[in-house]
Amino acid sequence: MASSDWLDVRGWMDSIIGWSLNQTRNLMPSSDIPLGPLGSINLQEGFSSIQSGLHTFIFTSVMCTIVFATMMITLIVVPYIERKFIGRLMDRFGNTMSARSLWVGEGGVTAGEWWSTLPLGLGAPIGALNRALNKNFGNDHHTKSVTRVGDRGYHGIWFMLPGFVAAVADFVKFNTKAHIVPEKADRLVFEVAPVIIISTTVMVYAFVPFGPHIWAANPDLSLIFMMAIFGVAPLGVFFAGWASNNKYTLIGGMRSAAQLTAYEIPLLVTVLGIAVLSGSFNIIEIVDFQIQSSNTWNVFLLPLGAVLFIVTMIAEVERIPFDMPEAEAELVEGWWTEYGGIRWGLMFAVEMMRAYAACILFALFFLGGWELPFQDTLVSLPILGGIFSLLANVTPGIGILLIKAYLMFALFVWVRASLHRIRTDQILEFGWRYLLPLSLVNLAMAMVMRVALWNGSWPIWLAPLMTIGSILVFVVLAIDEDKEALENSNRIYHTQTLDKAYPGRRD
Amino acid sequence: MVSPEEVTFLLFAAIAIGGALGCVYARRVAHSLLSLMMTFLAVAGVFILAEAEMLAAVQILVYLGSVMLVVQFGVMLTRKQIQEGDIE
Repeated sequence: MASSDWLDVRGWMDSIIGWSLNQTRNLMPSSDIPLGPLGSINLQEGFSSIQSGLHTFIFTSVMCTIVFATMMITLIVVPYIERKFIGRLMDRFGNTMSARSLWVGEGGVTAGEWWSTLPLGLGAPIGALNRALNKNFGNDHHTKSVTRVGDRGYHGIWFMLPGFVAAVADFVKFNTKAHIVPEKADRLVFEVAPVIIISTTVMVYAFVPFGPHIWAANPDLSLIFMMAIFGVAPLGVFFAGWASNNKYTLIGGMRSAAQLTAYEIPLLVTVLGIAVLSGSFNIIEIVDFQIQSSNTWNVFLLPLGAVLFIVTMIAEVERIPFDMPEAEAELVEGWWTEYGGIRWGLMFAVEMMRAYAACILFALFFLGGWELPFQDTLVSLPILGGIFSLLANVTPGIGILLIKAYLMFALFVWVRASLHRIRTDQILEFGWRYLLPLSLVNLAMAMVMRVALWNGSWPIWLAPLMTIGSILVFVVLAIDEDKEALENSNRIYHTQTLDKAYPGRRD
Repeated sequence: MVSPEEVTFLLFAAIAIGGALGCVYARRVAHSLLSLMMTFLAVAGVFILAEAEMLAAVQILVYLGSVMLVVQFGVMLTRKQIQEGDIE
């Protein structure tokens, strides 16, 4: 029995399309139409023979469109979170916020009195409006503009709105730009590489459910299909870097290939741990397992797997602690330096889409998908249970899932603001020497749990033991560090070193 | 009457053979790699037609995702010998 909510998009679309096709068939003449020497034709019977195939085709197309539209609309929030959250973290403000402070003049000085140049006195109302705004809301001292920018509470609730429109404006700008191919680039590969990257990333969303009834395709092996498609985009990255015929793009592509090879394997082994624990390769069944069978989110059973998944996913989507392939301080703009216009814009959107997919997948695999936190416990509370039960029934699954995904993306942004880039060799060493063995340990833990401890439900002590034990191990490892190495600043991934690198150094 | 499955199979087969020919006869290594990718994808499509979904997924995952990446490494590291003077 699969989980369900009232937002039954698939059921609605199914019945609407079935009804439309039935009406179409009924509109056709039911009697045989004579065609002279060719015999006769019955339109209704002919339509009936293709109706089920037509129904499947239209239904699948409509569901693909709905899922894609859902993804694109909800994706708008992701760059918004990135800008705003990192702006708050780093004490910077976006362009919309800064521009709002300049909408009226400063100290009686307006924007150049340009309206008085209009003929026939047409500009008089504009001038009057501007003076009125200036009088009531303008500044009498120039530092007040600075204060307005700095005052976070100034915009009230409306500060949220304009950020969304900036994304639309950006894409209008990308669409109007010229397409430039470098003279010595490999034209064919240069044009094909963005197609590989963009198409495979969009295909990932064919297998990602947004809710119990909002998904495009749900094969038995959707997890493997999704991870397989997810791993194709790095090839396009390499081709883009190679075809641009530029040393920076080539170095970026090289780093990308090395890094993604190193992190693909721990990622797949970690995901395999989830599949073993949940007993299924189907994403929706993994979610249903957490909601119905196990009654525990996987994050409480496999905290190590959750951490590994986050780390490897950040590396896979090339976000900041691991974004050496596009390190803009040293490689201009990495592997996409030579791309411009809509190709660059789409590849940037794809970067966001991949990060967004990573967040949704984390919510699905580890955070119970479309279930409220501790839903069963809350619903069974004596007095408040009714309220939580109502809340769980009223909120559609997609709402809960997207809130979890956005919170995960906020975590990604937090990591980005807190850490700096890791050196390429350190990235590779970290991936091969630490993440790979840890992911194997994680897989072994999942196997032991599934084989030895699972008989229709988990033992009551398992989830607390795993969670608290993992936290304790983490705390002990964090406290018990090598004091001497810390003083000498030569811990393995320490970013300070006494032994500085310089040009021409050999060792 | 040719069934849709046969048409799809012929399409995939043509892509696979064309990709294999392109892999052999392409002048540049990257074009060979692209053709090989095309072949692998088409073979995955043939597997899906044969209702071997697991095999198709593993084909994409292992051959496209991993083996091709390793081959790319080879191309990256031997680029200078293969395409002298192509990059300045």
